Amino acid sequence: MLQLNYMTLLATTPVLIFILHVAAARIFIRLPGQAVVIICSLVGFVPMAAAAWAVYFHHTTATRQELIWAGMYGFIVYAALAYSYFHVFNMSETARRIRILYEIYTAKQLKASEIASLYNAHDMLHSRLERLLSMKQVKLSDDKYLLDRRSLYYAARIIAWWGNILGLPFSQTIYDKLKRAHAL
Amino acid sequence: MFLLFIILPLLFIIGYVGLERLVVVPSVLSFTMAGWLSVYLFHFALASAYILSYPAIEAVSPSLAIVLMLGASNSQGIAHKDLLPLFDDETVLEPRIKDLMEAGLVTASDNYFTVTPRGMTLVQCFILLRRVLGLPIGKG
Repeated sequence: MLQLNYMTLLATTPVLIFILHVAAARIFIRLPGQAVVIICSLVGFVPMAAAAWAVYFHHTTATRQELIWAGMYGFIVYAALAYSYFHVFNMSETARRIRILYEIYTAKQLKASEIASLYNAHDMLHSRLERLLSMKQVKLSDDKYLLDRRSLYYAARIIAWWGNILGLPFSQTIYDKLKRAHAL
Repeated sequence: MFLLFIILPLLFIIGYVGLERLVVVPSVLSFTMAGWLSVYLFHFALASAYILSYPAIEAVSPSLAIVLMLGASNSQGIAHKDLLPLFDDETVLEPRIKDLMEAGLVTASDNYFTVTPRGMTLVQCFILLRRVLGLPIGKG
């Protein structure tokens, strides 16, 4: 029963982060949306750990080693579910497919040229550069964009590597065009 | 992907536990029901993280392409005017419309795109999420 309570508690991770997010989105209005979710995920770990202590760790008769494994298990499940919530929110914030779907939905029907007039490559690039600047991932110096913090750059390297393993290389798309244009 | 990583493992666990109870298969994995639930929750959490990361590779995130490009330019940087021609509608917009059609979220008729009932459900979920969070619709 204790184990079941612990599972149930961990399964509520997205709900906990969502509740924190509802409040935080209204408090930290000036922060980028993604940053707010990351803060909520980190802050949410504290009440989750406290609740886990109350429903499981405080009552169990498990050995010290079993407790360590149970703690690691809980941490991994929490982190994976928090990461999943981040991506769901990120889809609502940045996904091109969701934006296109929204534009067609609100207009009832649209031609391709009408979609492009409402949301085009120029808008898309502009909103991304704006977000990258606000997240301090890039900076502007003498009218040129430069990397600032490197966390997203390293994530991008991992994703490019992962894509190559799956046979979905960046090479045929934007990155390839960028590389060709700048002979990188 | 959802079928492969979420539904099939669940069906496997249900099937295995069922056959084990009926003594059709030998009890190799001696898990309790709570044990099986913990196995599935662990799998579900990791599979969700994997599935939700996948579009960044499949659809080539322009943000990731930008930072990769800036990283490769070392300290020289890239001017806005040099980035702009590389992000055209053909590369970043049209494939996404095609994806929506292939996923059955949008249909095309007489050169007009309309959202399917499935697409409506999805977009309404995102509209609701943004409303509850008190945020405007995402810029994409």
